[in-house]
Amino acid sequence: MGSKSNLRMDGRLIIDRPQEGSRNMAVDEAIMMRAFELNVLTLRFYQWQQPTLSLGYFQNYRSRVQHAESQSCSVVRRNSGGGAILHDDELTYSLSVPATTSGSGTDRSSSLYQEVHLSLLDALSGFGIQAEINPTHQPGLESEFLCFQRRAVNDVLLGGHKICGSAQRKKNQAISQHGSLVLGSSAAAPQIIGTEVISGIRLERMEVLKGWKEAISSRLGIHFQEAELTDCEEFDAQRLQKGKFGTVKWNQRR
Amino acid sequence: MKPEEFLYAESHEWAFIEEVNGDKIATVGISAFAVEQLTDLVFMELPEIGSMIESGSEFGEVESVKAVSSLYSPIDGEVIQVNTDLPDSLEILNEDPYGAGWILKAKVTDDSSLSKLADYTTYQKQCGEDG
Repeated sequence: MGSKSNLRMDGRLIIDRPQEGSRNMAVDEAIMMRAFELNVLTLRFYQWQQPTLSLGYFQNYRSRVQHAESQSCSVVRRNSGGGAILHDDELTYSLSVPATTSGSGTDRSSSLYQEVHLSLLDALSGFGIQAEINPTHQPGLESEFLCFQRRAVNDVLLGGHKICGSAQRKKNQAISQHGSLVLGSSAAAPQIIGTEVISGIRLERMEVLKGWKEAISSRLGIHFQEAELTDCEEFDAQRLQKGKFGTVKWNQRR
Repeated sequence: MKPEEFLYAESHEWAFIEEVNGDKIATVGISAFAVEQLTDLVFMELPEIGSMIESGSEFGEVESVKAVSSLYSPIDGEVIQVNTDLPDSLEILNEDPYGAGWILKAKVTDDSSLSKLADYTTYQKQCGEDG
């Protein structure tokens, strides 16, 4: 296991019901935008109202034609990088952290990938599932359309299959990292088989959520208290859903 | 252009200021320290020519290791040229961040924005603390 980076902070835990993709992305941005100002770390778990394709920030909208199975799914462009994800039978998280420094350079971004994914390994081992961290970038897969068909350093693998990957957005002196744990396969992305098929164990979402939260709490030294968005964050989230993530202009911007 | 002659923003962008026909023209890029910290850049989005940029505000974005980061302008100005070769050849930033890796040129519209920037020695000290 890697070294623990103890942040010694209190944190908020937000657990959301299934919502539209545009709302999910708007809430993540709303939290990030005030993370530095509020000096608060927020762990959020969420789900998707219907199977939704999310595109990486720099992905071309037209590239979705190469993935036939998800053609009828709604689509939202993320703020974060990486490849497309078909969100269906999964548990999604975001972790928003005030950055230690601003701008183009330094922060603790790469260790956040590792710590959150190591926490997932801790949590999964409690269910008898022994996943592992991908130690090296596997070249030649960068151009795959789906994130889960790529292999980056620190991805979570089970039996050679990627079951969890994360991506980040850095803005407003904060880092927002979000990622997905694939529980079961989806008809809209049958290439990705998920934890249940690989391990033969069906994980219940709320149980994994609890175990993962506790592992993050222990590994990062954060005491989480369940919370809801502040009024300002809720205002921002509604504005961002309507004016950004719910618009064709944003989702098809490139 | 030598990095010792540049001015630096706390957010790791640099500006080289020249007088051209009575105007102050800033060439803007990101420091070698920032390039090293970002690692493995894969995408970059540049501003449009004619757009106004403002000190401390976002003027572009880069993606590295699945992380999208903002680039912040070190000056107030109007973009007059962008390095269109750069997004397709981001390795230039590793090879020559203070030369061929320039990102944009802008006409400075408010000289007071320059006073917030650090000189090379001060910036190097900041990098020592950040690194």
